[in-house]
Amino acid sequence: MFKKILIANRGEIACRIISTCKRLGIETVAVHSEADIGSKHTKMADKSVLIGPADIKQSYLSMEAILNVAIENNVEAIHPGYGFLSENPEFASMVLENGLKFIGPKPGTIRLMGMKDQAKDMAVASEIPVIPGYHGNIQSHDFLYSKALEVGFPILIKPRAGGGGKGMRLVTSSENFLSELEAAKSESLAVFGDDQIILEKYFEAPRHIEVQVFADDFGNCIHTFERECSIQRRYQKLIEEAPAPFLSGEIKERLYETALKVAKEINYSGAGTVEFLVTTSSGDKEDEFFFMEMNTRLQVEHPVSEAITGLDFVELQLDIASGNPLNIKQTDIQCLGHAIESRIYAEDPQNDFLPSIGKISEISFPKNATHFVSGETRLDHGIHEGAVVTPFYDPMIAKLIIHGKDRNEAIRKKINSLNEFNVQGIATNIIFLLKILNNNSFSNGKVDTGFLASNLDPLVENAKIIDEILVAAVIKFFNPSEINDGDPWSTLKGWTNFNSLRRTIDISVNSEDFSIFYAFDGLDGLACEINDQKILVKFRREKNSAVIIREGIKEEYFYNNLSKNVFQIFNKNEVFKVVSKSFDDSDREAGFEKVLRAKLPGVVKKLFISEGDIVEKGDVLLILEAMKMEQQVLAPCNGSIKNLNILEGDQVSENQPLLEVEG
Amino acid sequence: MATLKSDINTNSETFLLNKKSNLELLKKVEATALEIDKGGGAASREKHLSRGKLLPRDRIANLLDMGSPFLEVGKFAGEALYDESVPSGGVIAGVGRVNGCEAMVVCNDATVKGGTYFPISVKKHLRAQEIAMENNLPCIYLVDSGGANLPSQDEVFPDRDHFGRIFFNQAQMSAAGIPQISVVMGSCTAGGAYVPAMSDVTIIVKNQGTIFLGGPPLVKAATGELVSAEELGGAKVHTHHSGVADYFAESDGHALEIAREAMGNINKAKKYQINKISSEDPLYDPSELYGVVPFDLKVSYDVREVIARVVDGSRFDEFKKHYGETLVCGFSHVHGIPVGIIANNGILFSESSLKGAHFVELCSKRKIPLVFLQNITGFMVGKKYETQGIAKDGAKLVTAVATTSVPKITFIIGGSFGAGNYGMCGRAYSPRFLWTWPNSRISVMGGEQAASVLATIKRDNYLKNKIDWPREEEEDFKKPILDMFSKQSDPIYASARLWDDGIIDLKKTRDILGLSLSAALNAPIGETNFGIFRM
Repeated sequence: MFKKILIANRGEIACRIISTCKRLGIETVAVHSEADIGSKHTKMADKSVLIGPADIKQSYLSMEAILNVAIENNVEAIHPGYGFLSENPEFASMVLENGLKFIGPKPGTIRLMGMKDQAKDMAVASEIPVIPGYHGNIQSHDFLYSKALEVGFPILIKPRAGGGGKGMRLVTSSENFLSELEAAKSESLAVFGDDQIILEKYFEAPRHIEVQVFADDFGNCIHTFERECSIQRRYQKLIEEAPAPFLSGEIKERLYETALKVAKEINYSGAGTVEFLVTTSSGDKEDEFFFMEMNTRLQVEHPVSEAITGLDFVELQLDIASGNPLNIKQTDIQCLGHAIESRIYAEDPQNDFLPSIGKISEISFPKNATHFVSGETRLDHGIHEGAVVTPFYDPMIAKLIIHGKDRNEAIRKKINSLNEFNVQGIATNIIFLLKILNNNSFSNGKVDTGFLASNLDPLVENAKIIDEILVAAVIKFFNPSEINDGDPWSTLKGWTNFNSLRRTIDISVNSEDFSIFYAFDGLDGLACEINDQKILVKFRREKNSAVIIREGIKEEYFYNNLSKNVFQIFNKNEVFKVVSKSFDDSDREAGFEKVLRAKLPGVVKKLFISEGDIVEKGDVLLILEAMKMEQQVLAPCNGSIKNLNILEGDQVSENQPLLEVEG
Repeated sequence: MATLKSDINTNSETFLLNKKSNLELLKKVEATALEIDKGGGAASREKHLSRGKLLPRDRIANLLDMGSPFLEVGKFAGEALYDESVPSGGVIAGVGRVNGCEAMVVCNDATVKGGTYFPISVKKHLRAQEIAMENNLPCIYLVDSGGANLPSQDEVFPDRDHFGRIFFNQAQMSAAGIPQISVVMGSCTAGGAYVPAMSDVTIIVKNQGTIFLGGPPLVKAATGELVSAEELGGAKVHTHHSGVADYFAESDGHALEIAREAMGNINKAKKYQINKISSEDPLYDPSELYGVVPFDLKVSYDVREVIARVVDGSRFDEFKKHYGETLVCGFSHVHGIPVGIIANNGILFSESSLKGAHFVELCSKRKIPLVFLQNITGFMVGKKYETQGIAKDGAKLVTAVATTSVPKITFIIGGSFGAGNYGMCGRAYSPRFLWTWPNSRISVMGGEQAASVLATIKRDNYLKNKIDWPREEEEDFKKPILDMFSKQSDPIYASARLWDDGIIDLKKTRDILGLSLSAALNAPIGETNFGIFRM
């Protein structure tokens, strides 16, 4: 076994790998970028070395920098984690060339599986089922028509040069095929400058199921059952389970068999995942499955398989990479209970899933959670109080894995645990996850890759704003710590000689504006006037929540501070975003000028203007980039640019003043 | 410390009768207060709102900290005082917390005659400043006023305690380190312009606030120059060019926000000079006071029943309990603040006066605030008492009360007649706050006594001239005197003239006392230097 390794990754996966190393007594060297100084993985490792600026190209993707650290620190091997350099054959080769071990398969294997066409050809040659279709060079109408009839309808016509669904056409019957083909070819030519198309059989609502395998250099190959990963949004997995629900034992066996066959065929070594597309059974038609690709790394969702097998996959990886034979046999591995993982992202599902950048001011983890090791409630994460979620990296901040005796128990416990997981300071998808878990189709196991797309609207829909939400918003501004000095000026809330004074507050809740009058009545009474309606409540303000009693009905509302003027209220699996109107310095300084602010946190990608420039209404002034989304900032009126206080490449926070246009 | 034990039966007929009549008195006061809060009436409120301005009481609410109490002073000022209605004297004043610090807020009500200053408005503004000066409370002026009320100029402008005194006070307070902050939310014309100009910090609202010595009509008349109010003295002029104002605000709300921030920069923290303990509710419900206090002032009752419903835990360490029993003195706490209470329990005798003077000395030496519960018909009269020197003993009490440095808070909880008013810290003795109950009566003597005195003098004259004066004629003679006293000793009549800081709800006595005391503690308690006690 190794004595010292380097982890070429960050965040939760780096922490997770270090955790196993610690248990096995392996010394760890972590690497970090400038943006990750002080982050959790750098503290967990025995040592962490700064390798470059925040930009991943100059840090986590810099092979040279990482190798230098590895060599200088005399490590024996490099664990790449997932993402970044984990499936880069060049990097794997460089590691080996430098006399170090790469914790993963051989570079050739990585390269082969990385070329999707070659992988498919390999599968076809090994009589492994792949999605039927045609991707050859013969492009005549007649030939393609005959191929289409052979594959069957519905069928997809895709431009060969395309990607991401662009120019894709779904043809449901043979009658329309030729006209659609004609249209597809001319569109492809117009868009991509190439009229070559490919055909692929279309499956309605398929499932994404994958099988985890391990192979050593001694010809031993095992699988650790399958994972169901159909809950995806824009090809990003969100909830993963093991084992897959409602899948016959017979088809499972065939999946394992096929996965092992793929691994053996390519002389695989290490941990890998074979992904399959599985059709959902309709009527008495049997489920079919097709090989899609093989991932040659440890996957994000590996903990669900660890939960049901009780194995430590990182330990297995280390074992194999250090040249040991697998010390477990297939027959030793049992599938126990049911595990569900959900990925917790710093993002705002109600706001088109925009990443939520900011400082995590407070975290409370689910009760009895174990970290990085299997347990009933496992939470893998790379965050700590005070950590900043930056726009430079993936906004996944944690993974919650629940292991129950069956699926229903796992779902139930998961809902409880998610409710106990409280992150202050950034928006998260926790409520969104709760809504999925509470969805009937999900609990009935009716999941397929179309689940989120077809259910998205109700899942992200803004709930009706009931009076109590507005009352909770008012109470949010009430600072409970003020009352502790015992002075009557603090304790006699809302006291007046005679009639109470009404304060006003202007807020927007989920972008709807409200003007609320309110008056306190002692420490626990509040009278609000909303749209001429009077509402009387008793309340108790806690640190991050308020208990409101109205007409004898008690309910708790939870707060999450996002920024000075923005917070969220959570109640009954619904989330409300509240923006309070407030005046800050820049408004005051501005006086008569028009201040432009960043609508979302991000990086100034391009700046088209400089101080004093004359612009016309609608001119593009700059481009902001948050994760992969670009936003143009336009001139709101004709005028000249003033107080430009940003540069290209600057990081800006939400609501930060960017510049002024003086009309 | 001893705990007071109440002997009141809350089911007795007397209790219920008292309660009924005291609640009726309260209802009358509350109805008046409700009317006052409406300011200048529906039409002028609508007009005010249509300009995008907040109503004056809403301005105060938004200036104060969330949930801050508002201890309003002079609410009944101007009530039925003039032929025209001037609710709250056209200017709302009171103490509230702004950014964690107690401050005096003085807010013009432009819905009342354009916020112009009637004589009572000036008196109230000056009283508010006096409270600020005595208790070291920063002043925040929410200005929206047309200046002096021209028809009353002779009662508003020339004298010492007239309009000019407002600016004199501002300068004095500024010099004493009591912050003066103005928020210009409407017009500040002529003399009124000096409120913001004399302030330490001034905020002005765009398109609403204007400051000028002469308005556009006067300018046109004087020089022929045509200019709009905004161009002449608007927010931009004063924040960008003249320097008359310091902060530019987009709206009322914005201006109040800036004022709150300005209060954050005064570098002042309240330090208790007293040994504050944690507060405790009284053992007896303060709302029982309605039934405890007799509706007829002539009916005597034990004032300890009132104290038991005001002080923390109903605990009262009575001083010299068995000496001079008509004046109850003792130590207690209200909202955790130590107090020395002096309460009438009958007519004042030499012993009670001496005891009171002794107790004031004690509290002064120990720097314990004094609370006066005033229900006094006067000092005892008669040959025996004059010979005993009741005048000099009364004078000792008056001297002690007049010269002590500790904060004094007075409540008139019943009658306030004659020299008793002096010994029990009436208005002339500068209590920091003076509050009255709806059942209270104030006059030089009781109406009946006054009528009898006048009738006796008249009868003596008739007797000298051997003229017979029939009983019925005497009654007719006394009637207008009785009526006049009855009218003039009514608490609303008194409060309308600012003889006090306001009429209060009995059950709020404890809270109002706590707030008054705590506000008073913003000023340091100095050493007392008593005058000569006539021995």
